[in-house]
Amino acid sequence: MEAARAPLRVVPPPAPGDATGPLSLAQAYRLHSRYVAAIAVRLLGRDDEVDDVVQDVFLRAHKGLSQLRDPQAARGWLATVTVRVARRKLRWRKVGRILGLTESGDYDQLASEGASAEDRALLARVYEVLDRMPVEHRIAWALRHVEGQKLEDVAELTGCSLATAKRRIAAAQQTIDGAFDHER
Amino acid sequence: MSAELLKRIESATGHVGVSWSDERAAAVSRAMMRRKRRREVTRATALGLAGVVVLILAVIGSRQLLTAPARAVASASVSASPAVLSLSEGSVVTPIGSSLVRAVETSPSRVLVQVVSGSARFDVARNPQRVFRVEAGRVAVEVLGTSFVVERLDDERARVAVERGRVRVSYHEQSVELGAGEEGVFPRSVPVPSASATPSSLASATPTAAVPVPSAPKAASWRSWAQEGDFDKAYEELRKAGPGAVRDDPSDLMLAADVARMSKHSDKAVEPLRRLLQRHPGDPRAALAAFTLGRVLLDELGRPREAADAFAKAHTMGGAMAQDALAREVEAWSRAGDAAMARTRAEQYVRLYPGGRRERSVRRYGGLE
Repeated sequence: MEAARAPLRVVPPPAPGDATGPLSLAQAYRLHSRYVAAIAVRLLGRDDEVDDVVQDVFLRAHKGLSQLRDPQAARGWLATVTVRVARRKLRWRKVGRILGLTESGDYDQLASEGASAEDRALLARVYEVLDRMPVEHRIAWALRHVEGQKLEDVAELTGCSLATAKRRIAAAQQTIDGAFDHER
Repeated sequence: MSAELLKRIESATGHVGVSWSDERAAAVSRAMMRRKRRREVTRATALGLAGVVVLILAVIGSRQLLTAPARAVASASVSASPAVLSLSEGSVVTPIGSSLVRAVETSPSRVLVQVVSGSARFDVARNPQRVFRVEAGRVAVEVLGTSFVVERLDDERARVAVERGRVRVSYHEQSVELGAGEEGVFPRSVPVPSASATPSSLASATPTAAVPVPSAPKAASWRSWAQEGDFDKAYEELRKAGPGAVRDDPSDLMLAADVARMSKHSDKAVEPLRRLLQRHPGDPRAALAAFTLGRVLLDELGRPREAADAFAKAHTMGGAMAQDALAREVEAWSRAGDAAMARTRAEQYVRLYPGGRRERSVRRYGGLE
């Protein structure tokens, strides 16, 4: 379990030829798979999709990784790819729900064993609300408030302007606010 | 949102994590390596096919390919994979399957890429200082920073689907903007023959509806109306044209079923779906047809026994929907009042998909709780 949340470093895709110490797929996986899995579960809220996402991320990123020599840069690049893969997964999840192929999320088991019953219920409810909002809003909000990223990094990781990132986070927050107000 | 609630949420999210044991990491790694090998084989096959196509075109003296402008291709940097075109300004073009694309121009102010055949995905680096233009026959797409797919259908038409950002699609003297999640075939006024219709036409109906769409031509066939997303009119035309209007090919049969379902005539969707299963059991869309048939029979027509048979067939055919098909078969048997079959199939689900995403409902309908 990765409890501590390290800040994501945003880096551009590596340019061919700027590396001297290539990182193999196996090395990158050994070093960073836990890190990628941790980001994935926080964005998706479901453990059962994490394995697929981790595979997708490394398969997509490995060519770029082979150009990098700085392990920290590799983490940033992997974070960017993870956000993209998670976005696609969440969109498919929405389509699946429309077509009746996917059931609504079961978030009761999302929290780790050390969480209180109250925290468990709160997390499950928050992720249920996140399921109902646009994927871009959800990702921006989760990066900001679950991953604890700076607004600038949220914008970079989601490929939008700072103003757009703020707008998405605010919209998501409003949805959550409304859901919780409604239940009071 | 109150600051107190947000603080509680942020505190609780500290408990969100993943149980990433060494055993799990090793299992995922093995699966990933298997996928990597499969991809390499597929890519090599696709490249081989593309090479054969290029060779054939060269032999027959295809001018379009052999007389590329002098500035073409050379302006694009070589990517790590020969199947992917990585442009020096940061954008990436990924041809799909054996499609052909070429970079005609990459200057600081303008990038021009042509889709010669097939389709390609474009991940365009954000740069307001330059125009990024994709040409597919007579259809052109201009973007600032986005991800989208362009499929060249023929010299006149192209399909454009936007994943992120906005694009402007130009054709003839017109242009239309598409946003994230929207797609369409351009020019809008050209009727689309059914050969291009795929099961995705149903999935694309909703996002496409957000785009301002000119009316389909008065004399348009049911397929044209369906392609435009007007399923009521498509159904009306189909009904007028009679049973012979649907060709005996999987695309047409799926489209006819979609038209019936989307126009709220679900009972009329059963026949084309059954026909597809009988006549084209080996077609890649057969599993989708069986699953769709099950859904129609169970959810819309209240015929659970027949639905169970359809879901069983979808499960037998395998593929991405197999797990869902088995789960829904359990539900269908339960609704049909056959508790023994529901239980048997539920036990099979639990055995085949331990911890599966539908396990909770399967246990409920199968009486395993």
